[in-house]
Amino acid sequence: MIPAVLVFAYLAIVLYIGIFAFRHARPVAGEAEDYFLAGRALGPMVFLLSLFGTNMTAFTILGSAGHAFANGVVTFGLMASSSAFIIPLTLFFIGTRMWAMGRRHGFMTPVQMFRDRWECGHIGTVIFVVQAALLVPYIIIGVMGGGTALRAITGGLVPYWLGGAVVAMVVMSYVFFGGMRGTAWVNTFQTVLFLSFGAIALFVIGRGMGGFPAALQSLLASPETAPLLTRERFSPLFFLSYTFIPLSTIAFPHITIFCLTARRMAQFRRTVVFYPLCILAIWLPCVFLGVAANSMRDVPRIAQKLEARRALAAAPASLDPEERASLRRQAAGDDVVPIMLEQYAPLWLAGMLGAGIMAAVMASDSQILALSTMFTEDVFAFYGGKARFGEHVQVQTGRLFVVILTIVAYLIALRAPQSIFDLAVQYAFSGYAALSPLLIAALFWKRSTKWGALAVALWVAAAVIYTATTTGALAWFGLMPVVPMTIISGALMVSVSLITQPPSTATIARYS
Amino acid sequence: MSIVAANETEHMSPARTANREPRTAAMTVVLLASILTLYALHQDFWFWRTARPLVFGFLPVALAYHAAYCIAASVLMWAMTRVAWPSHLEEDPRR
Repeated sequence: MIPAVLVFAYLAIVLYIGIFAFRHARPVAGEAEDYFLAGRALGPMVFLLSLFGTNMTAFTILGSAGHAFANGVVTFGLMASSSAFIIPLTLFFIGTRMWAMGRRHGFMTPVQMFRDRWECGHIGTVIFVVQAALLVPYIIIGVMGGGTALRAITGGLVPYWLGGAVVAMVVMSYVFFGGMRGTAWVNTFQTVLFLSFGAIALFVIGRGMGGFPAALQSLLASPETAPLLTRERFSPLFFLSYTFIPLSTIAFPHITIFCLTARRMAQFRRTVVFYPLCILAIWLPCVFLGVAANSMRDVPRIAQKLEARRALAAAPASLDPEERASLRRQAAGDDVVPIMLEQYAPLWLAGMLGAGIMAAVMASDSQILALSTMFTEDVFAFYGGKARFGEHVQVQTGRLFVVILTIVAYLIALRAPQSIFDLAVQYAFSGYAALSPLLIAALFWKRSTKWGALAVALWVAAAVIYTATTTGALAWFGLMPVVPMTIISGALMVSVSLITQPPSTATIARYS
Repeated sequence: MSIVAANETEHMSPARTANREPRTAAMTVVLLASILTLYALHQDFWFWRTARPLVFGFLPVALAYHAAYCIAASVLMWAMTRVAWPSHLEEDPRR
């Protein structure tokens, strides 16, 4: 009961932050800029913590530990340290320039910049459609995660449909009222929770297990678990492929748009320096705990998972697919951190964990707001809505879009199986990484053209569909599909641009 | 990086430009080399098949290496903000 109370208190705080932000709206920079970009006035700490929080999803706390439980220490190198280097690097080179162009030319979305930079209209709409299609699964996953987490935390007291509705309502409310300012403040609060949670959980569980050295020695002693402490089961090429995935971050519309919210470019300085340290602070405890959970063979729920993993490894190729899927579900380790806390932590900490999980699964706020910004700027305003009805109606349209999008996402979340959207999110990462040449070309290459951009957008759409529907597609030489997708994307941008007419020199000069 | 260097020199006096340019070019090369080196260091094949030594008695060496890698990334970013910060972008050419 205590965890459920703490989680509902957390939801109330989050809601209050959103409404508080609404009361503090200062439309000095224009109503739309104030709602969608917080008036381009976020300070250094909110900018850093919110940007980091926006990137942290349910996967960070639960999925990373689950991945490490099954695959070992490789998880950190695959997903954390590569991001710790590539994401700040892209923020340094692309984020700062995007910020400057946004301030100089008044852009609020990447598509607005593409349209202006490449002197195009409908090609921008094509890019909008591809970006939006890749973003929607995240929003649905967020609602599903909320329903599942609330049901688990309340011990089934709150059913899935009600949990999903509560989380969707809370997210919708603070995005609706607070816009970017509310979302950024909530994300800042969530990041502080993440950071506190990792350190406390590590300390409490470590003490409960009688110290980590003993647990690690026990893992090393068993031939079954010793490989989890090395990377011998993974090919170096597969490992290398993962360094392409963080390229997706800067291409995500919610991150690109977020880059426009900084009051000064100096905000990026602190962000790029501290971002790797924030990744270290959150991912290292989660990955380590996931690996260490393999030593808890005396805990029945962990023992069942290990048994299912053994059965899966010994299963013949002819095993019934449903039975294989069932074994995979039993062996999955997404709940190992909650199990460890149940075993070793007091109730109040379990409650904090619940709030931490809720903070993670509610990361869909930024995506909802980004999609609303994109719709109102790239479609509503571009096709004459703003000129005809004015800026106030544009902002109200954005708010209405937030409501409709959340309701649609909730209805889909009630009916569709989560596995479909888990898969879609997985492919969306590759898709966005392959879209990154668009930003690089627009900001750094004068000779780039709209036709090159169109080729990239169409290629990414085709490649995502192809890889999602065909087993082993584009997995060349043991690499993940993201590598050929991104390289081909870059090659298309260069080759198609070189054989087509560049924009006017006046336009190019505005971007020098 | 070359874009940063090119734009920075536009706002300087000829004497300052003459003094600054070789250092900027050298700095650009050093930073580019640092970025490529750090990227290459991510592929630490030398710790691929070993868990030992356990750093602090409990961290497998590969995990400790990648934790240190995050700190190295932070240090490199700090260095880049000190010597290659694109401050020219903060000035609006329309003003």
